[in-house]
Amino acid sequence: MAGADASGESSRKKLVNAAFFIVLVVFLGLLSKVSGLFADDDRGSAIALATKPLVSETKSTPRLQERVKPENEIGPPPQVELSGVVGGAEGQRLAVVSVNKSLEAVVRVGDTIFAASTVTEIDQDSLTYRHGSNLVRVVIQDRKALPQNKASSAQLPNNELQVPAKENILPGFIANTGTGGQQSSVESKNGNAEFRRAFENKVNSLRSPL
Amino acid sequence: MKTFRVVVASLLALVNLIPGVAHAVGLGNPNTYTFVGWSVSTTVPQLATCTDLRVDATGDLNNSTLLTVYGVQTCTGGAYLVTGTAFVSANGVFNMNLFVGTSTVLQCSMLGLSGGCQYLTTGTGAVLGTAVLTFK
Repeated sequence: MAGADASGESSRKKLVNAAFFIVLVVFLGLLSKVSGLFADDDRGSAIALATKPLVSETKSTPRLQERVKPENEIGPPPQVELSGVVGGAEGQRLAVVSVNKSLEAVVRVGDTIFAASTVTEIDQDSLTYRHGSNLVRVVIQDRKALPQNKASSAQLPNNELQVPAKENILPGFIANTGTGGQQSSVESKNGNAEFRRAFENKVNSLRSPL
Repeated sequence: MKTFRVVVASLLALVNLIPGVAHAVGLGNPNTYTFVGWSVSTTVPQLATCTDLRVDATGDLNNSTLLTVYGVQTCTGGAYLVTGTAFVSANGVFNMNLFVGTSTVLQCSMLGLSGGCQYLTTGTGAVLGTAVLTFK
């Protein structure tokens, strides 16, 4: 009788342990699904569970690191034209500048006018900005005479600065954007390779049976 | 048996604490793919010089098929801001709708990442012309 009880107790314990193990496996499976630990190519791998980072891709982090470049890679200084200096509401000097032939902007000391260029000083007829380790001083340009006729843009020597006629553009056109969002000399790579990889992985995962 | 029940109940409680699990919604971990670029060739006269389309695309392609897309289509003398959405189909088609400027839409369904698209006006939906996007 005692022996039968003992063996019964032993069987119950085994059953409990087995059930516990099953629940633990289910729980881990659920956890991995939620946290995305299992990538498509690592499906079912316990080693992946231990070694896969919680963040499946950190592509944006390397991108951030790429922006910290040594001085010799920041590119040439911008072409800055100073149209004038005015007084601000708080008594500070404000400079009207055009950077790389773009539309004029009003800047103050401390403003970044282009990539690695920061305004360090404004006096009554000049502006000084720091580009990397260099200080560049720009004096007020002589004002150009305004053209008399409508086709003033056609008189500009650089064809890229010509603003298209109204009938040749669609609503929302932004004129004279400079590089217009194209890569600067600092960022010579594009994201196409990584995007293509991500796209193809996604298509493959959608096509694969679960 | 009592211990077993306690353990199971604890695990289930822990599972419910994981964000999203209780609502059966997947966790997203978006990435941004920057400076994704296409060359554009179009029959729309007003866009004839707008040959470069450069966007950032944000989304979690591990857990989703959707992307937010935003960027610039550059032309001679200026550019158009573009913004829209894209999704990836199981048949390998990259579907993308982009607002170009303020009243034009670029609609693409491309097998792979290059292919044919069309420009439409947002008002009437009339087709302005076709375009070919070539993934750079």
